Amino acid sequence: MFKPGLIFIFLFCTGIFFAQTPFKPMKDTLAFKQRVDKMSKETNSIESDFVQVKNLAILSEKITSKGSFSFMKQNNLRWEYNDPYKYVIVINKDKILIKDENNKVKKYDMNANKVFKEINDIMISCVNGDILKSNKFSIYYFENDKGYKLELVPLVKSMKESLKKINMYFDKNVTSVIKLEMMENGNDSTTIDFMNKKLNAPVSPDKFILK
Amino acid sequence: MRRFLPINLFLSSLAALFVFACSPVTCYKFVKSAKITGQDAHPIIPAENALLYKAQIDLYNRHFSGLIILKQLDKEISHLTFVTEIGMKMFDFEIRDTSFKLVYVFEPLDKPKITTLLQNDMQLILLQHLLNKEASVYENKNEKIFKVHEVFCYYYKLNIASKTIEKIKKRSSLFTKVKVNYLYDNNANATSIKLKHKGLIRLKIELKNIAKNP
Repeated sequence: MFKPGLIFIFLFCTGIFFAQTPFKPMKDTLAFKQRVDKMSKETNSIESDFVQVKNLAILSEKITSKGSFSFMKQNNLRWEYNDPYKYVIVINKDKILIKDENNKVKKYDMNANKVFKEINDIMISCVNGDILKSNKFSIYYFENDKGYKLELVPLVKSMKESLKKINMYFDKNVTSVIKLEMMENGNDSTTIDFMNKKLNAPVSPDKFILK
Repeated sequence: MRRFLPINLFLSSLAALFVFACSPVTCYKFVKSAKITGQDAHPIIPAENALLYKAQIDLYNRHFSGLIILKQLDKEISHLTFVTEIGMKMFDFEIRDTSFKLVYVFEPLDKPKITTLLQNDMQLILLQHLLNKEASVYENKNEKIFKVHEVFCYYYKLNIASKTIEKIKKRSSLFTKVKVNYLYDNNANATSIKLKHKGLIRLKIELKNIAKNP
């Protein structure tokens, strides 16, 4: 499907439930950027569970899905949905692999597809912290007593057509992203909370191979 | 001349066999012509609940996977919405009585050839060519066939006891172009919907219900 490059922005993150209190504009963005830079340099691997909640304007109830997430430097990501459906996306260097409930594996060459290339660039920039220097988003910085919030507003036309903004939440120690919100045009949104995170624990390379 | 006779006879028999064997109403008796309503056949979108499906769509060389939500918003408006597993909305149809309007489509899918095909098939799945239309009604002991003749012929096989549509065939004058098969739960909610095109158009849609009331 897989033009929806924007979504894959999510794939680098981990965290725990984050209760929101009112945010105010961040006072010291320079110090925050330095902490994100430090976080990126010190993070070699991440494993985490996640809960994704899709909020559609037409539905009174929300669609909740759950799964696990893995990241390993330099460019390996695994995003696995277990409930209520099975679905796995793996980024393995220059390949994107997708496995659905039928156990069929589909492979896409990142370099043969400029969309995937863009996806990869965005993901890498998230992992290494360069997203904060990206010219594809306007970034607004906020903080409260519990943590930090970044609002990423797309500048690229193709992104703007479907995406209003992405909100990224960090805990006070800036050890990882703990929550993401993707706000779409038309009042739909997707929220992903990360929990049970393990930073820099050994991760098997087999996780990034799909057969 | 004489030697061609057996061949002609054979071909005629074959043609006759083909026509009768393939007619979806061969084993049914014509009963009447009538306007078909939700009282005659359960609508696919239930009046009160939303239905959530795991969806697999194979369109030409592209594979789409995600969730389809069917939701009746009020007496007049329903929605059919497709989102990816990771939450991105791909398309959203608004259904009002006989109208079927594409209110949103993700840019890469926004091609007339694709959206028209999707719209036609979603209309077929949701019985848009049957409900509130005049149909010829055929019947046997357990089943009815509703035949609706528009540009194409639509044949709907109804389970009389449950009032659910089990199969649809969309046919041109000679060939079946599209087939749809349904399975239902005890509440007459469709748990499985499979649509397949025949011929040049390579489109397959498979919906599997994963929650009754999202």
